[in-house]
Amino acid sequence: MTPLLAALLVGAALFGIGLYGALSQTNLVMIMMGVELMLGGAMVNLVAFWRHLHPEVYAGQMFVLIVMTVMALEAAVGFGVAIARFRAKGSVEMEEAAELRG
Amino acid sequence: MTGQLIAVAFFGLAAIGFGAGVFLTRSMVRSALALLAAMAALGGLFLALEAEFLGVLQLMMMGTEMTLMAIFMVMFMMDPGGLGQMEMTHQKRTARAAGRSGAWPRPGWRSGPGGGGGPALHQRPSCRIAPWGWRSWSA
Amino acid sequence: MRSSASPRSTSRRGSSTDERNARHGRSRGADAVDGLWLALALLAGVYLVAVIEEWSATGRVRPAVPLLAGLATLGRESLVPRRSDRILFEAAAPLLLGAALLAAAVLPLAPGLIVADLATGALFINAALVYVVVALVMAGWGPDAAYAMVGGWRFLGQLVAYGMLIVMPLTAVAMRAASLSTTAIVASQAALPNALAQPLGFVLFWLAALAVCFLPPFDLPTAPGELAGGVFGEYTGARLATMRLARLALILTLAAAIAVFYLGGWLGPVLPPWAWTAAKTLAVAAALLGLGRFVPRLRGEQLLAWGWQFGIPLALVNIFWVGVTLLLV
Repeated sequence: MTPLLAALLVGAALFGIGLYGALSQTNLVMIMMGVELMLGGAMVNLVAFWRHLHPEVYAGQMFVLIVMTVMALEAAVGFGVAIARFRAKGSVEMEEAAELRG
Repeated sequence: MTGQLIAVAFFGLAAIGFGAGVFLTRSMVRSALALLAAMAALGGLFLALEAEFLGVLQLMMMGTEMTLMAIFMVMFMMDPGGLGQMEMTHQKRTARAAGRSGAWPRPGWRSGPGGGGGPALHQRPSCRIAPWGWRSWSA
Repeated sequence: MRSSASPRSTSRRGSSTDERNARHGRSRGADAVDGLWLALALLAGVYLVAVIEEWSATGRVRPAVPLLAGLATLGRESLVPRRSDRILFEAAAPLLLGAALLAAAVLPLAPGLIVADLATGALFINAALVYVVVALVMAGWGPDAAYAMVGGWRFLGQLVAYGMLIVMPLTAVAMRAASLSTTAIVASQAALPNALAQPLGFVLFWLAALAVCFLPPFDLPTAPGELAGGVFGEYTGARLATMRLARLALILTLAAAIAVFYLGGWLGPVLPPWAWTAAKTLAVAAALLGLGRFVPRLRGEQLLAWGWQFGIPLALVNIFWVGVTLLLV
């Protein structure tokens, strides 16, 4: 087993755990944690491929920086939505957020 | 190479373990801090993969972000301490199947000497993917 | 982790000269004697900071007091509160100590006398200091006590106020040195220390350092006279001793960081380099501990308002100022 394969397995496992969490949890903040884990898995893949395929091209590291920024933004926007929802409805349980269902 | 493999495996297993712990514990602060530990383990993994700047940056950014997540969990969860045994999950079967399809390496998939048989993957009959990806092999 | 034998890693550091490679090689193969000196320096520094803290509180210099007080604290019973979150409760103090020591590991005592001369040293110290907050939140949540929890969450709010003020002045410092390595940062101050070259950043980093080690006037998590001990309130015996030791190590680390980043580290005439670092660090520690006591404690929302309305714009002005001076001079 090479380090590349090990890192890719880690990325896949984290993505799977995050996907399970994002789909199974009812609370908005827990869903966000699942999304963070998925993004973390994606970052592992990016770093592993950068390291083992093109270590001389630094654009690969830039990708990871962008994903990190996306994670921070996801947290900021998600908390903003959560605060607005909590002020309006008193909870952030996603089972109750069905106003737009047709 | 072996040292790097050991380091990658160590930090990777730590990340997976803490990542699973996020959804296994009932205490919300523990959950957020488990996510923090998973992300810090990813930082260690980046360091093991010789991406020094990214590893240190990951350690720094995720430390702040996940700790802030802890207080939002406590603010917004109905049962932040996890002592009330509330049910907090839904659509469990779909979620479990989807998660497994994301995580599990497909049967027959292995890395060749060239570092993984990417193009050949589509041609193998055992790997034909159903619309959701899990029906053909999760049984 | 990074093997220097790998052919790929040689081309990764842009401005690596032979001199720097030699220094890296020496610091990586740091022999046991260097390690012993560094450990002794750390222990002596922590003890002296404890003596200075005693002096700043009582006005008397009593060198034996920290030792006796530490032994007395160790001798007491170490209680675990009922219904505590045991993992977080136990892990908080070691994590605080580890964060302080990791941050200290990238600060040079003299040329070559450093635990880890990372190429990303100035970023690494930020990363390590973040875990101070994690440790205090754990210590606040763990024991299932109201005052401790208030203290822990208060420190999280304090982080939101001071977090950017740690990172942004260090950005300006790294701009002047054109490197994130702490030894290169010290070497860049040969002509003029950063405290004079960028006084605005110096003041902001000083205040942020006060806030990191929750000294007055930013001592919201412990808040003597108000919170009944705050985050430390539920810790007793050996655990409290670890907590206090970690806090002293944190103060020493921040004082050494100010000395290295802004006061020129080991640079100075006559005395040997390590003596200059030690003297500057202890002087900064005395000032950190002594000056804040004459200022009233800020409330949380005042801290946030000041941090974001004045601190961050001033830090941006500082970065702009440093950029302009670097272009013109």
